[in-house]
Amino acid sequence: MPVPTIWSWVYQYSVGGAIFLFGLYLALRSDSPDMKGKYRVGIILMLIGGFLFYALLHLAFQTVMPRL
Amino acid sequence: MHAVGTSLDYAIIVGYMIFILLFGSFFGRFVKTTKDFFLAGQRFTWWLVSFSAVASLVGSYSFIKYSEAAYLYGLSSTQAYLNDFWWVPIWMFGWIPVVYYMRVTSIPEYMEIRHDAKTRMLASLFLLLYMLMYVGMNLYTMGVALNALLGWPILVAALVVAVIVAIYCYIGGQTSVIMTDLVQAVFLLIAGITIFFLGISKIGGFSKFWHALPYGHRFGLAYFNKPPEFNFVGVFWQDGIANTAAFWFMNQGIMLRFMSAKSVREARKAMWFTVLLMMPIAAVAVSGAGWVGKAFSAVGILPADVSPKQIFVLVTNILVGPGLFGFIMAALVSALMSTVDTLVNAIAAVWTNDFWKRYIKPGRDDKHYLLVGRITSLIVAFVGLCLVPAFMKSKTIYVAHATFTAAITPPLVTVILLSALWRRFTPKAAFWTLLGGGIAILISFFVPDVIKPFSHGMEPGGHFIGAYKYMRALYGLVASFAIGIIVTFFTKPKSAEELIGLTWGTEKPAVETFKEKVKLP
Repeated sequence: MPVPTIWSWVYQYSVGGAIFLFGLYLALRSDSPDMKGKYRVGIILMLIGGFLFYALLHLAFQTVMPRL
Repeated sequence: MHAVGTSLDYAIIVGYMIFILLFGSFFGRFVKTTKDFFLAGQRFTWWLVSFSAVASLVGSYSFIKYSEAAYLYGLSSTQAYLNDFWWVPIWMFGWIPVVYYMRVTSIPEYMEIRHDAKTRMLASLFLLLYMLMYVGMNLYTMGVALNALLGWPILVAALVVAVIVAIYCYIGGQTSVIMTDLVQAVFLLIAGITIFFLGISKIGGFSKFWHALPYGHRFGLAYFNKPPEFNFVGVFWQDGIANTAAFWFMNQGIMLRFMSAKSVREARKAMWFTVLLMMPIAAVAVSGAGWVGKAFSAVGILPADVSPKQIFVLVTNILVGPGLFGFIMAALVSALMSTVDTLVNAIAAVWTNDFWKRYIKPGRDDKHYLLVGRITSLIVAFVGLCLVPAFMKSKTIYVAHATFTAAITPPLVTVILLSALWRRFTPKAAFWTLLGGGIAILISFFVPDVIKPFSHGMEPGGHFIGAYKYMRALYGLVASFAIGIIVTFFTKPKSAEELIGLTWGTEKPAVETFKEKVKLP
């Protein structure tokens, strides 16, 4: 079985990232009545944080972790 | 394989089944209306919804299927569990407010309000067939697992589980489903994680375990497009895009789970918590035995030529003694029941609301529909059981099931996404996307070369239906989106007033228009 490369990660977070950014656009433009104040800022930050968590986790397991 | 359980293990499994039956039935006292039966009265908090969703996510075959993949391909077996987060914002802001504020209880119901009766009928048929096959397949796989583990005949094992699920779904509906799933989710996650850590301990610590794994097994994502049986880009499109979208946007059971939350905010919290925290835990729980098994093979605890399909049983057998083995098997049973009960309740919802109430006996009181929902739960469990012998005859059930789901999910997912996110999307386009998308996929069964332009350099890996199994999802999505977009531009959309509350960006007027329906935090 061939050894995986970084390209899988690049592809995943390019296509997945585009879908995520589209969703983030929907969140930022949402006219939902409960999307105001601290809740609005909080949920956007939680979304970005979650996406970065997965991106960094997969990056670690695609680059550094296998070599340890 | 001969049975490996002891009397103590049997006692634990039987005791667990009785406990779940009584526990689930207890919640029947809270069911007075169809809203209670299908939506659990919309009173649940986010963490309860989240645990319940995870229990449904981890299917009856998850432990065996993912342990096998983990043994063969390493950490990349988690790819299917860890590729959901990019859908979260669209789900939170483009989907859940729509279904929650409009109080729709099924995808077909949404299809009629958003489009027309023709689209509803087509969507209902696709959905019912898909879920019924799924119930049968789950009962069958559980029968196979219990047969291998405890020596029970496949049909008897499937019958026992079907009866228990049917009874508590009949009595308690969605409330029972959620409460029993809470217990079962905790149970099965603990079991999986316990196996993983016991394995690491036996091999002498994490460092020894890590170095016992082959180098190629330590990557989180597989090689880009090889081999055809398991590669990154195939899993990405088939699971990360098509099936993940189907799970969160189309899966009736999951939809009802999140609609049983107290508010849209609670549903959003549940989603974030589930995808970010619960799914990585679940990924380790279902794959752990496979990784441990590979390390065991490397250090000689297990032979190198062990069957990957049996790795979960073999590793469990090595690591736990009588009693604890029964506990692990009970976790397997719980995984099945939490998947089947969700499907049974979901099918009852579709049948009662989309066929019985709509076409057969419209205009009856709520008690009548509650009874229909309950009886349907019993019938669904029975029909699922009847499908088991058919699955038993087929050696290629997993291929058949994968092909079947691949044929259903892309058109439905496309219609749901375009309906919720694009106000211009027309009823005629929705109908032709479902029909045309289905036909396009059907063509690919006989002429698989049509998938080649989407294959990313992957080998076909089979003939006809068996060719390009993974990439059929991308082909189906492209065909469905193309039909949907083209037909939309040549047909007339609904007016802005008719779409209030039905698409993204209309929440504010929806709240003003449907004040009595909308429950704000």
